[in-house]
Amino acid sequence: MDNLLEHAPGGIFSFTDDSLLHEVNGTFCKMLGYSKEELHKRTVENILSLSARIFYQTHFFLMLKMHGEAEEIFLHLKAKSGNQVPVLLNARRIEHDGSIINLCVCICVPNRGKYENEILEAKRLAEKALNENLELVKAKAELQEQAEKLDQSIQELQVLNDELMQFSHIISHDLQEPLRKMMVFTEVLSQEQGGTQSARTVMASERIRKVATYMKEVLYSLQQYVWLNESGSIKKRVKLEKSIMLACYKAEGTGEGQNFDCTLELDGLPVIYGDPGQLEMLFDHLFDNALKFRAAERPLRITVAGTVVSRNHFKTIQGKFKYVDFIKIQFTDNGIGFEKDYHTYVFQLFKKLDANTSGLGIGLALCRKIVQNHQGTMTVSSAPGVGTTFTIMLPVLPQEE
Amino acid sequence: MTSNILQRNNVKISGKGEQPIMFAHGFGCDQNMWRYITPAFEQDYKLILFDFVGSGQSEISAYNPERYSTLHGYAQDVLEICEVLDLRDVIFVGHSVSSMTGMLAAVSEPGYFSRIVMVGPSPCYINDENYKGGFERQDIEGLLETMEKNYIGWSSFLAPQIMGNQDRPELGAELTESFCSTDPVIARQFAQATFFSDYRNDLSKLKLPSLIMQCSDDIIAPLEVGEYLHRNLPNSTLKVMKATGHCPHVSSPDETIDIIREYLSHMS
Repeated sequence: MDNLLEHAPGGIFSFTDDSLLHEVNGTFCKMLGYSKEELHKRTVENILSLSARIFYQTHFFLMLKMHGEAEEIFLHLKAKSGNQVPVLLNARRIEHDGSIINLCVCICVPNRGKYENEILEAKRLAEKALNENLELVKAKAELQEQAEKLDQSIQELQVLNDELMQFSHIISHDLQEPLRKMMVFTEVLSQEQGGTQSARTVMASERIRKVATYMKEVLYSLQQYVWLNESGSIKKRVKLEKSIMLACYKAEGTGEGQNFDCTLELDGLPVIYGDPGQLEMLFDHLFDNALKFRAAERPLRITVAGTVVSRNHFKTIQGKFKYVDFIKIQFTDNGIGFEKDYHTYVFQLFKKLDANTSGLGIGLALCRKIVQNHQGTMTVSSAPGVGTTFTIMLPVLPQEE
Repeated sequence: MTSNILQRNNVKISGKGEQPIMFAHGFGCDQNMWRYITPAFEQDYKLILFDFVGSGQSEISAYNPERYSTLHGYAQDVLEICEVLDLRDVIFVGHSVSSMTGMLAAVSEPGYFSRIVMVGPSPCYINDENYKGGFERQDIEGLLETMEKNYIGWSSFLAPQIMGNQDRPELGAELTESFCSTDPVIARQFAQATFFSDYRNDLSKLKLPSLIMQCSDDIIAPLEVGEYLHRNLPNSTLKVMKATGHCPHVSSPDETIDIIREYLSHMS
């Protein structure tokens, strides 16, 4: 090295792309307490503090390699004694004797470092105060807004709930009683006339009986749905694995021609707190549904798989994030399936895709209600001729007292 | 929604093939870091490159400190891109911290992905009793300090950005012009989300096949960490590279390309 540069008031060093030190000047050696021989063939990383090595790998090296230079980089070098040496350095990639080397100039900045620390500390404090204040003001405004919305929602919900209660009352008493009477009197009429009824009367009373029975079932299902709406505060330890296995056994025992192949992948699911009765009902309905819509041309296969995934707990408020664990249950069958257009339709009350199937079309509406009661979500994806997958997400909430 | 997310993450799509391959940059840079790798895949793949929110030319206004305080927020970026582009069976290539981001995304929605390629991954950087991640807590604190001091010239007046203050848009333009630069406040939080993370318990949940590309002599992800990942990721392949350092895709692009190609050639 040029004799003048050897003693320049700043460290000069170069290294190759393999990180090997190439040339160093006297000032640089003195800065680190090494002799020239000791530095020869060492890697750059050897003379960097650990944190500087991360910075070197994630920033400095990339800037040099991809941009050709890096300026005003602050790093801590590591001296032979182990002490940290704060430096400010500029670096540039240049061609030298036919090969690429990275040439650096650095100056030691201990006093500047102290001064910067002071400024940074002051800045941190100021920022903290500012942020806290801004955050507080923002939080307060948000809280106020949410409180107003909440109050509005509660009012609306109360009105709805009152209506619902009235409906529920109408359903369980006011409608059921006249229906029962209708059925009784139809019976009386048909007995009264003995065997002398005309064919038309027989048919008519048979129709009345059929329609009345159907109505009774509808009322019963509605009552169940309303009941699910009103209940919901039961919180017990539930092992979903057990609820699902139980529902599976029950489905297997439902009778002739109902055999199916079931795979459960539910190992290691955490316990959740919820209503065991409702959750069992949920899976009963799902198995029932799969059996009902099996494809005639192939044996029914059901797979129930459970995993734990992290999701944002906030569903409606924008910009709020809290990642919590959810149990994700995927209930898949290879049944007849249905078109994408019906993905929300199937969850509505008394909606059936095929009028010829048995049942009232309330099962999936009940399922979704149960999942909602447990603060979860339920979605479906299906393809005709391939099968259907229901995805249930249930938050793993801590036990409430 | 579609254009919002594509703009937000500065998503760039190229390539002549059908099979999607997504490249996710790590901490400290942006999608530019893949420039030596991507040409090799242009012919046979559909390439998806993007910047995580807060890096490169992403929309800084979309940064939400709550969301991006853990890698789950970054994983959501990946999932949202997959959703709007309606992608299936994506080969996800993640560098460094983005390997874990990709893993979290694939655990959450496996349907989008087919394989996860991890370049220099680590599930946890800090040592504990029975685990050697390579760093102590104070080393990471030192890194945060180094980062802070390298941005000291302009970090103070950028601080309001964290609160979503949008009345100085010219700052955004200035940022994007300098290479590998990020808003310093965001960079610091990204460093925290990265280096204080611990996703060891999630590894067993990844059922998709994965490739661990382990560099020789990488201080950020040492060999022990690669071996730990290989033991704990159920369907993984470990490949120790000749390349040294933490950025083989920049320092040894040819070897990196060969290994990824070789691994993908076994795809059924």
